[in-house]
Amino acid sequence: MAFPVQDHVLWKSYREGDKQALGMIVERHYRTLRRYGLKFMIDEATVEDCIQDLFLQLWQNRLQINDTFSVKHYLLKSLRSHIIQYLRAEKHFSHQETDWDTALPEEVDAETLLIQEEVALFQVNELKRQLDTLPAREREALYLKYYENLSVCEIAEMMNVNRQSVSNFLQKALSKLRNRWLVAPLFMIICTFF
Amino acid sequence: MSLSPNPFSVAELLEDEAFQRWMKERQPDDRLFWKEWLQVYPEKREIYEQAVATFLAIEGKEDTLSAQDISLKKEQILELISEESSSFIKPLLSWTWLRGVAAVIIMSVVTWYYFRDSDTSQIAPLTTRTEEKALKKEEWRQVSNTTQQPMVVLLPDNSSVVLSEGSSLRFQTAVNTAKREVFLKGEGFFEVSKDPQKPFFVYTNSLTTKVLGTSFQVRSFEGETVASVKVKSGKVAVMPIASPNKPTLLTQHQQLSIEIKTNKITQEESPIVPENPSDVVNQEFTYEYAHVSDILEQLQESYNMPIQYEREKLSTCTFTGQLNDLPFLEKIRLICLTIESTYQIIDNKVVIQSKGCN
Repeated sequence: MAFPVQDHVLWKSYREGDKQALGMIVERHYRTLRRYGLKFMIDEATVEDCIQDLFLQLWQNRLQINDTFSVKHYLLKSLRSHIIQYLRAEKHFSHQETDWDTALPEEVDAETLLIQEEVALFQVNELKRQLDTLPAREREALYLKYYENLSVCEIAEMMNVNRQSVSNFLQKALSKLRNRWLVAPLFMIICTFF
Repeated sequence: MSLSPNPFSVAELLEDEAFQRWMKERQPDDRLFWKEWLQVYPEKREIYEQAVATFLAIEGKEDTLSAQDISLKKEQILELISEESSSFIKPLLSWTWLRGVAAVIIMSVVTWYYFRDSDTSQIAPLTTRTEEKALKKEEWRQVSNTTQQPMVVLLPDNSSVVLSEGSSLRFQTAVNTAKREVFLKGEGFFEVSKDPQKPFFVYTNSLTTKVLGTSFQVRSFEGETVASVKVKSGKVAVMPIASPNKPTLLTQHQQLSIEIKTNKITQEESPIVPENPSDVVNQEFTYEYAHVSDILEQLQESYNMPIQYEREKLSTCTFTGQLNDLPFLEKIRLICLTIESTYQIIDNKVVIQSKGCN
């Protein structure tokens, strides 16, 4: 596992005042941070500003910042609090509930992904409709777990809830999605017969 | 090939790290793996397709950021940081003249008071503190080659790097670390002294190279579309930044290149007739009864490091042996050992002291 080692090395150099190391951290995690930030239904420029503020603060506070087990988790967590701060200031955030975007990719490259195109498209759309019925925080938990591969513990820390709630979110969300997984084979059968 | 994931549910497959990596990076190698996997477990196709669809729904909109966009963002952030650091001085500059004078007076009074009847022992802690600071600063050293020719950098562990024009290298000045790490921008030819206990890592923006002791060239210039590693001898592992958990092993005379934009990896044998035979990476250092002065000429030329010796005294000295893949100073040391001479580094110059050979 070369990645955590290297992230860790960069983190250490950055805390010792190495600007270039921080630059490499930016480069490595920018895409992840931006994708996550955009899920909160705010515009690109704002997300990019939040990311910029986050790194600026990291630099100013480098002497107070501790070693971290996962740089990615640390950055996602900090970005989340920057975004929430922004939302509070903008008063979009009065009822303590964030938003979570479920817009779908414009294209699905079925051939590369080794799936049947019609089935996949149908399924993805069904799943999106199901996702839309979930509360935003459950969608966020799903994303952090299955897209960013964070642990339940890390997600709980980020979202400011206990571990049990995260497990519950995930379980509930998955069981709702599961209903949709069963629809697809049926669709396939219909397609073959008609 | 191990077909490790054997999930019983969509959720299990979604949690599998290999599956996540495949979905996020979509590397051709992984595609091959999953194709085969589906052939071995045809009954899992349904689970697989459901997991893919779920992943796509959770992932959502694709992002349109290119690698260039990202390095641009990085530059913007670094610039901002630099401005911020310099703005700390601003309040000082905006102080009024009067306040400035007051500060100077107060400081001189304090200093006078402090040193009034202090002897040297009281000053001592002050000086050690500044020394400590200096030591800490020196922990990392950066060397940039702004000249028009390659330049040799001697590392504290006796490894050497021939740094190309417009390249820079950052390394630790202490040797007592668990591993050896350097950061490279641009191109460098590395000859790493053997130490299996301490692997040697070369980090660049696009790839990481890990070795135990060998010689190889790394090229990763900002703004270039392809980064590459060429191995001259020994064995190295290369980890692209985009897929760090999949090291590619390279051995003697193999090379690897990565297209920065697409992360496409190409691995091939190095051409037998090198493009630039004069580059140190392509040179042979094998000798049979060769005149030592000729060898020193070659080394001086290849490493761009001046070597000073008395030509007449060395005129009868010859050397037989193989100095490939040895760091620069190790080459010098072995030659000196055979001709019973000594060497020193003075002012970025090798000075050889010899009594001559019989």
